[in-house]
Amino acid sequence: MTLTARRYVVVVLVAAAAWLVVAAAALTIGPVNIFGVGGAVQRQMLDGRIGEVVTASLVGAALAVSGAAFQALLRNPLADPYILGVSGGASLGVILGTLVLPPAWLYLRLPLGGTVSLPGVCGFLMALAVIAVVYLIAQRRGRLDPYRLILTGVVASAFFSAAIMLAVALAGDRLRNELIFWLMGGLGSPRDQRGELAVAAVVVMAGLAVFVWQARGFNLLAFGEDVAASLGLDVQRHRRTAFVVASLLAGISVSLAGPIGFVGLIVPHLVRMAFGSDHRLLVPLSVFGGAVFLTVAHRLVLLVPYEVGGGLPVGIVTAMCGVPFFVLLLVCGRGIRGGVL
Amino acid sequence: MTTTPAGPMLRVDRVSFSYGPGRFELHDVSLEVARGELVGLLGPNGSGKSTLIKLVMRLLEGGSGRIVVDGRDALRQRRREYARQVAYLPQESRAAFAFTAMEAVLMGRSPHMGALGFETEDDRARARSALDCVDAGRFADTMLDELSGGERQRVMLARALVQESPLLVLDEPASFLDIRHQYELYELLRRLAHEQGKACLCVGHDVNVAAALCDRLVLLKEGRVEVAGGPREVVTAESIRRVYGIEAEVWTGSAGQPVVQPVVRPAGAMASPGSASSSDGERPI
Amino acid sequence: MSVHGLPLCGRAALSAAWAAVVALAATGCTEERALSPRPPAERTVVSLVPSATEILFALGAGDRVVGRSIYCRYPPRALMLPAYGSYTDVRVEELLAVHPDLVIFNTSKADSYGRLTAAGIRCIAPPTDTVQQVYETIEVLGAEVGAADRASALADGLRERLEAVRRRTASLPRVRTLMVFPSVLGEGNQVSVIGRGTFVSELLDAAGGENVVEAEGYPRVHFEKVSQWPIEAILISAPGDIAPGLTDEQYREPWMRWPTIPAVASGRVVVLREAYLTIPGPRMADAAELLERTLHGEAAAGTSTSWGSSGKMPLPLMGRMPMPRYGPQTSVCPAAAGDAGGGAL
Repeated sequence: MTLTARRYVVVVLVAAAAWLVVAAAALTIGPVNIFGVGGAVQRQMLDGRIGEVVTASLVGAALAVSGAAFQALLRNPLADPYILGVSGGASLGVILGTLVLPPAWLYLRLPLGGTVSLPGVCGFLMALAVIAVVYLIAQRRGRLDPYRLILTGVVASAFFSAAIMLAVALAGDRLRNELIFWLMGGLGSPRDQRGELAVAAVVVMAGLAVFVWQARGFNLLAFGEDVAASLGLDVQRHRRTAFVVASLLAGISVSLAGPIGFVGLIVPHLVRMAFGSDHRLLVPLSVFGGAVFLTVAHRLVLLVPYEVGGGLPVGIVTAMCGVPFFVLLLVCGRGIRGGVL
Repeated sequence: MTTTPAGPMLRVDRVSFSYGPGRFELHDVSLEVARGELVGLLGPNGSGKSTLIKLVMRLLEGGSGRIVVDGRDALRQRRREYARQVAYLPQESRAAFAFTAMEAVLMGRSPHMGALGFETEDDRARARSALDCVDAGRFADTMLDELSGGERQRVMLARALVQESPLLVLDEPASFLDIRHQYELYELLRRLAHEQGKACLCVGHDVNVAAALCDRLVLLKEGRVEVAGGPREVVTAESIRRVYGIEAEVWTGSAGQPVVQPVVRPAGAMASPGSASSSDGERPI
Repeated sequence: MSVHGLPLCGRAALSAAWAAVVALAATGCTEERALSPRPPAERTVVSLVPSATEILFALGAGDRVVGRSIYCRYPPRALMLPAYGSYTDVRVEELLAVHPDLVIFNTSKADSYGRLTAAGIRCIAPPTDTVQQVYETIEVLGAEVGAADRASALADGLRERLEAVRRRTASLPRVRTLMVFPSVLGEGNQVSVIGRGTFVSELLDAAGGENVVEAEGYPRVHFEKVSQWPIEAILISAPGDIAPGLTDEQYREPWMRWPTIPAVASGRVVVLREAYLTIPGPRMADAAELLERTLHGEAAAGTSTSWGSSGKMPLPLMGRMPMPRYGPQTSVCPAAAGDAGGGAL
């Protein structure tokens, strides 16, 4: 089924509405029955839950759309937001920031309310630096080649893995447990993150807008760079922009919530299986799909009582739920590759 | 569709290109393609055919000389503008993701649309007629990777057609097709040229197919134009020996087209290009 | 996850291979060593457990402790000993070269435990999960190093002091208390709490508190859940030697978002910097008294504070090693938000 303006509007609006419903429902789900508590407590809880749902939605959306973009950019269905080492860099930045910064600086109060976590800022700055370095190594006379990009990224990832291991090994006993939890993809914060979330939201929205703009270019690139260029696409500019923006989104989500796996790989594939490969639809649906996916996964984690081993990092759940679901779709999904909806 | 019929649609004017110092890929190549004309570009591997096509398509940068499309310098145009002038069909198109034939064809409309635009009913109608034109209308809702190579290549040709450019550039479009589909593809190109007035430049690897169906041929050797002209002038035993370095007999086919038949020697006897003028009159079967 | 997968596999394979080599080498010398064991009073000891290290020093056997773990930082003299690894990652080869008469482990399941035992070195792992076990461990270690009398005296002294604490708080209202380990990076919107069945929970009980956590061990609990508990005091155990330590205010900040928790409303969110709070050793009476003071105020604690068996205030010995601070530095929020004694590190 080909895309018409009407179908586009309808599907995207339905997806947005679905996200709103899930987000609203998520506010009522948590470790405690929110309807069974008093007014003041309810307000506190709601406050905390709004923060959690917003974080999950932002991070899920950023990861999913970044994954979709990397898959299109590298023409590789196995690509995910972490493929080019940006997330490794961001993780290392967060960990080094935690280990090295003077303790009193780790959390700064913002004048408008909320705190900002400087390790998170370090992570984001590190992501920027990695983007620059990977680009400089991968480019040749300003041209980005997917294979060089993947090779560079794999090398960068390997380096950062090693550096992260070193940093974790050197960390103190208790902090090491925390770092490992974080590396498995923790989500949410006991601190007031309003300031950080606002900044992240602006960056993520801007990134999403860029991809909505670039979506048709991704379609053309699926047929190779020569065909895309012959159809009027400035391939190099498109690749540069997509690379930088997708990496930024990956970097900011890692800085915000740790390296949560599988969202960026699975959500775009699920959307493709249901709605086809047209990136004009894939981009916005990955946004909402990622937001819904991570929000739901996070709520599921919170429902596990702490007495029976609750308090897991959400990254474990995204992997454990995501992978079987994905396999099921691969096995049963031959007939719906083109999109059923 | 052509507003200024005067002058060739494509003019390649003394184009040279090199990948590195001393490694000339193309040397002073000039050729023209007129409206309503199907021109075949032939030559052995490494003769520079693909390089020339990539230069025409602006997929390679650098080199010297001029490429003029419809009177305007190719390099002076913006990409989108250029895409409305020239359509391109590569040897093989594999999509990284699953698209339907219709979706793929509609991508050919993108030079005519804004970044955020959607295909209109009009675009869809054009795509359908392009699919019909290449006899692929029934594949509209089929996934590309479920089509055979020949079917897919026809769909891709429909995508190039729907671009509605006066110039069509094809890079060995038939090399993965069986003989029937090769002929069908060339016949289709010929019809497009003669009936719709398109200018077609087609790199071929099969001399016989190209000689049978192209209006003119250009034979490249080591980055230079060796011969150019009508099929009968270009395809001779002499030029085949010079360009390909093999002995061949050239017959005249039933439609008046030249037919090349390489000389088959008995096993063990290696032919050296200079010593072999052994037309003993026996027609090899 | 991929970060840890490979090296762990590699390490496991290596250590398995090494264990085999060691076991082979050991068969030759085991008997010889076993024939001439040194008398307990001359045995050399490597202690890989902070509490055991403290006990050995308190028993006067400090001069025969020839090695420690990286976590053993008390008494200050211990810091001058060579460290032979952490609980799980022990430098077996170096220990074999030193060949002490006794190595004290945290757990007998450690793979280095088996390798050292195979090499003829006596290894023990006395449990210290409850107060009773701490007394027993003191006696066991006393017997091992030939200081059984001093061990009995030490255990009795601790028993008496703990009893005294218990007596003083018996008549006081129990303070429902939550003890937590602080998080630096954040573990989601959650907090690691100290549950029942732990040594610290027992001390809390003695000090007139009541642990609000019903689960055992050290579970991780969502703040929402915690906000439902009737907590009168929150104690954040943040010894200065975990790097990096936040400021008291930063540790308290997450709790300030839950003003309906009674402890938060009344400002009883206390950051305790004392490392000995969670070390089941000779300073556990100090820990109980510290908890008593924190929960019931200075007036309730009858005796004046005593500073552990060494009787001296430790001095930082190594510039790089963050030292725990000792002394009455519990600061209560918000009254003492200035952090007179509880500054970072």
